[in-house]
Amino acid sequence: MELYISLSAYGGVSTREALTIFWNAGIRHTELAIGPKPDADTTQAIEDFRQMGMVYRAHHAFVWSDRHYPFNLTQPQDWKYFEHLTDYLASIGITAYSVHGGNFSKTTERAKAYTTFVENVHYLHQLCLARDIVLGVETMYPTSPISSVENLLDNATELAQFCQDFPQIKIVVDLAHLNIWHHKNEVMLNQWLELPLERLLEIHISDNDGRQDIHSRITDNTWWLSQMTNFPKGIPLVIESRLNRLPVSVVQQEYERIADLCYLFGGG
Amino acid sequence: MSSVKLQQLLIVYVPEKLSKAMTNSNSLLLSYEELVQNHANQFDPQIASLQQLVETRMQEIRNAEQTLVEAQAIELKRITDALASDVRCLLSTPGLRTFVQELKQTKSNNWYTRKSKFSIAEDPTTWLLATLELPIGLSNYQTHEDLNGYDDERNFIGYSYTLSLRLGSAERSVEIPLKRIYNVKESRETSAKEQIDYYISGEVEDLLEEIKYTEEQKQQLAAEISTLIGYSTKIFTLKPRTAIFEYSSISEG
Repeated sequence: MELYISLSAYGGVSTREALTIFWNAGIRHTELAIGPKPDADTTQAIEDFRQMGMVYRAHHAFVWSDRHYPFNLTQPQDWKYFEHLTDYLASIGITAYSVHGGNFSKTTERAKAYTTFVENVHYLHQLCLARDIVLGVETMYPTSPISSVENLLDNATELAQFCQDFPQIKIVVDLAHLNIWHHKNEVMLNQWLELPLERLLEIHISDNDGRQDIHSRITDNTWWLSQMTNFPKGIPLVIESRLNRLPVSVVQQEYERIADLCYLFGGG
Repeated sequence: MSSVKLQQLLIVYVPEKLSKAMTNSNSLLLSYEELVQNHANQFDPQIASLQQLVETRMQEIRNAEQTLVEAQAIELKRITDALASDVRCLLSTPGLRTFVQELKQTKSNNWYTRKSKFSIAEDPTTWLLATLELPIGLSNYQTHEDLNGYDDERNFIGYSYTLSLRLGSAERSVEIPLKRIYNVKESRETSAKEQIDYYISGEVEDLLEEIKYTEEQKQQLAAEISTLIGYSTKIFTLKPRTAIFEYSSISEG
C-alpha cells in the first residue's frame, strides 16, 4: 500500500523546507495540507519536487500560495476560489482531494449546517469531476464540551447518512478522529474499514489521548494497530503525526517504522 | 522659459472657479493650523515639563522601592526552589484550597469513557499525596510563543509554557498550551480545568506507571498531582510587585 506523509506533519517552515526534509528522508509520497508557512515560493517548490518525482494528494485548506485560505463548508463559499483551486490541482496532476465537513456554532441547528454543507459538497464534486479529481470527505470528531462549535460528520449516524446521500463521494477515514468519537469500539472501526473499496479515498493515521486531536506519534499502544490486518488493501495511508523541527534522520526513521508496520500488519 | 514665467503662466491658466475654491480651502485650513500651532506653543512645553517631573519622581520611587522589590525577588526564588524540591509544600496554602473548590464547581466535561474520574478532597492536606514518601519536583518554568501554530483547519499564534516534572527518579518535560490567537477577532484560552484534564494528567499518569503503587492509588495520585501542578503554574507566574505610574489621556479625547 502507498504510504503518504502529510505536510501538516512538518509545519512551521516553508513548503520547500518541508519537502526537502521529506525528499532527503527518502519519501516520495506527500499530501499537501495546512502546516507550512505560506510564501511566494510555495507553488514553485511543489512544482520543483513534482518534477523530481514527488507524488501528491491534497487535503482540505492545503497551502498552495503566498497566504492560507481557510474555509468552512457549512457556510456559503466563494466558488471562484474553488474553481481556481481545482484548476491548480489538475494542473499539477493531483487526482485525489479531500475536505472536512466543516463546523457550525452550537447555537446553529445541525440540520441547517448539514444542508449548506451538502449543497457545497455537491458543487465542489462537480468541479472535481470536470477535472478528473476524486473528491473525498473526512470523518471528523466531537469538539470539547466547552467549545463554541461542533464538527459535522463527527458521529457514525451522520456519516452513514452522508454515505447514503452521496454514494458518489468517497470517505477519508481518520483513525485519530475516530479515537475521539464518543462511542468508539473495534466493531465500529471495522464497519468503516469495511466500506466497499470504491468508497474509501484514503486513511489518515496519527494518535491522541482520546480527547483532543493532538496528532501524536503512533506507538505500540495506538488503538487501531491490532486492527491493521483488516485495513483494506490498496487504500493509501497518510501519516499525520507531528514531527515538526525534527531532523531528517528522525523523519526517515518514523516513516520507515510506519512503512514496516504497514508491511507487517497490513500485508504490504 | 524661466520657472518664474512658467509659474505665472500656470496661474493665469488655472480656471477662475478652481482658483477661488483653492483659496477658500487654503484659508480654511490656515485658520485651523494657526490654532493648532498656537496650542502647541502654549501647552507642549507644559506637558514636557510635567513628563520630566514624573520621570524624576518615578526614579526617586524606584530607588526607594528597590529594597522591597529585591526582597520579593529573593522570596520568589525561595518559593521556586521549594517547588523544585517538592511541590507538596503548597498543600497547606489557602490558595490551593480555593483553587480546588473552584475546580470542583466547574462543570465536568468528562464525556469520554477512556479515563475514569477520581474525585479529590476539598482539603488538600488530607490527600493521599500528603501521606506518601513521594517528592514531586517542578522546575524550569518557561513560556513559549509559536508564531506558526496550526490545527487541522487554521493557523494561529500559540502561547504555551513548559515545566520539568520529576516524580521520584522519573522526570519529563510537560508542555501546556495557554492560548491560541486565530485573528484579531478570535482567540481561545485553555482553562485551568482543560490544562489539567487534557495536558497535565496524561503526563502524570505516564510517570506514575514507573512507580510502584496499586492501580487505584495511581489513579487517585494522578488526580491529586495534576491538580497540584495546575495550581502551581499560578505561583510560577508571580513577579515582584513594582510601582507603576499609569496615566492615559486617550479616554479624554
